[in-house]
Amino acid sequence: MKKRRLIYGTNMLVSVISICGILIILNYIVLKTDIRVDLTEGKLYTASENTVSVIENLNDDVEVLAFFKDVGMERSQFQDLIKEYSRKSGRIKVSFVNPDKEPGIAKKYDIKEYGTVVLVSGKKTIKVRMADHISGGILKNSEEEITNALFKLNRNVSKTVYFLSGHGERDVKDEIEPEGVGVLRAALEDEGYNVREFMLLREDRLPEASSVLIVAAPKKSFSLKEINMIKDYLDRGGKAIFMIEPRSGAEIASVLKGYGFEIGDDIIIDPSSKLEGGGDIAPIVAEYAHHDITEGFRFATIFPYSRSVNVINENGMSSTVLAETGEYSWSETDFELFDEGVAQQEEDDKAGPLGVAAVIESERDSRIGVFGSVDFVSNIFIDFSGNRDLFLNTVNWIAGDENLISIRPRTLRQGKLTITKKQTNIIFFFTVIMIPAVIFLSGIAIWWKRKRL
Amino acid sequence: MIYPILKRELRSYFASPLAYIILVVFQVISARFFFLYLQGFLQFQLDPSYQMQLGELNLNNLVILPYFGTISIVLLLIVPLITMRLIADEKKNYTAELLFTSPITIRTIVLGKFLAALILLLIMLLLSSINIFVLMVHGNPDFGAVISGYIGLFLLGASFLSVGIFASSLTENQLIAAVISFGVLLLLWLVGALSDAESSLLGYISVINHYEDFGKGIIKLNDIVYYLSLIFLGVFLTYTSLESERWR
Repeated sequence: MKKRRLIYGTNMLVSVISICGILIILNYIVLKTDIRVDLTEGKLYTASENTVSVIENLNDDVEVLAFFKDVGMERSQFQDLIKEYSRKSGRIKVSFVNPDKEPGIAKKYDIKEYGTVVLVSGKKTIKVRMADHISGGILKNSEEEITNALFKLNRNVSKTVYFLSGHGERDVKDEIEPEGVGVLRAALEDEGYNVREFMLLREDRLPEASSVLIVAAPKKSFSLKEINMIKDYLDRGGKAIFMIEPRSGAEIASVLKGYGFEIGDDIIIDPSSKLEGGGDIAPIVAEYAHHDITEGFRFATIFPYSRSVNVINENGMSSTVLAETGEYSWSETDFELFDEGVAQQEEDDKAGPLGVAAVIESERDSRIGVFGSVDFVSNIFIDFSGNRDLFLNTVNWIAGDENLISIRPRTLRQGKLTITKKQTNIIFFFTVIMIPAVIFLSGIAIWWKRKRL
Repeated sequence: MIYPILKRELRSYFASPLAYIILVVFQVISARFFFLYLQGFLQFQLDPSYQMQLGELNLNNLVILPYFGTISIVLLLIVPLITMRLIADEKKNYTAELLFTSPITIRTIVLGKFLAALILLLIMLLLSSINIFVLMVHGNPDFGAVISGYIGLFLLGASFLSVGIFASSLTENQLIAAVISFGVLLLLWLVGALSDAESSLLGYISVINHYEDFGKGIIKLNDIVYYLSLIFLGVFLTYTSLESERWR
């Protein structure tokens, strides 16, 4: 008897253990596979084809450092998003960092706000801001941002941005003084560009392609030789951005006229900006022309101390005024009165809207952008709303990297419920009281019937 | 061969007050919570201070997801009451011996009883879908996410049932069976509460982590396999435990 029990017992034990083993192996195998269906209407949790092709073509490992608070909507939304990436590629490693708990890492990557994501690959790093302060979650186009950052990390040719110097241009090393453009330089480096200073007089000619020349508000005049070098560069298909302040850079303005820009010798005054946090001479722009640079762009920008920039349409060129001031602004040309602190709209002053930023693409592939203000990217204003992004978008477009990958933002459908108070009460009565009552009564009836049988 | 057992079990559910009481309690609690979420949504929709966030105002996130969450908790509490008598009762009334010496195999008996409990679960979920129907008529929820949410709830509930039926096979006391299954289920629920299914073993074992994606509208093979494994394991252990009584 005892022996029989032992045999049966061992048999049972063996079968239970082997069944458990099979189940564990099965679960382990399936966990490694990636078979799933996304039933949501907008395919909310599925990476787009563009993203998948970028991920599949990654050459190097990418470490994603996500700086989030331990809990919150931002974090969980980002987790949903980034899970898709790491699921699709073994090259992407994700780690979440709470900047409060690990200030060392946060400091290393110069993290200033929650919801910042740093992508690291080899020596290259790209920083992306994910937090959307309006919704409290992450940005609607966050997939596009992450995918483009991966794309930039993965591309081999890195481009160089040359800041012209030698004419009293803004200082690219200065990250502290309000008028410096050091923060802009750091932002360009975060985008994956090399940034150099460049003195025309020391070189024979401007650098070759895969570079962007930035001229940030020269104060002193250019020699004829320098002017010719710039013209030569642009004619060879060069790519450049000029930022010219009112009452300076006359030579540059006349060079640019040859390429279709019409730069007014004026200061834009916009009294309505005061209502929105600007000042009389800091017009705010909230609407943009339709262009690759401004696609999906929905932030306001501020252009302090700006002159007007417009374009003349010529054959073989496509030109666009990207940003225009409001209709209450005007172009002030009377600098004497302005210096006395008085500015009044006279009849001959051109009224708004006035262009403050424009781009031109010529048939020789040169791309030129002109801004009527430099302060909008100086240390003090660059973080104002969309300033940084508008400028970086422009640099990317000028460099030929515009719209790296465009991905339709996935948005939850906005819920609508049209139901009256009375309807709600009826439904409440029906589901919370009626149905349970019917079930209850039928139960009683059956019980009663059986009892009487 | 399963059918006679299934019929017998269903009849015994609905001949006693148990099934009715379970259905009434389930419906009252879940529908009451549904209306709390619904009223919350309506207030949110009208509140001017939330106008900036209207984009985030989503019926699935604000009403259906929390409603399904409530249902899963109610199931956790109610399933042990559904399963407690399935086998324990037979043992206590000595009908077990009759049943187990009959020509019907133990496998058939266990499956029949499990299926009967599954049908009761289906009826509960069907009742709860009346509220979803109301949302469909008056609003615009994402139907795909509702479907996957229900598939998830069904698998979750079935896993609870299989744990419950195993607990019931271990004892002849219904109360002890209920307490064991509730304890085990709660443990399975909480075990990996702080980590997710992919990052740790405990997170993988946790029964609720695998439901999460179903609620959002994603059906993953590994979640389905996890639930089916749990269900199979529970039913298999029940079978083994009954089988072992023959020689113990």
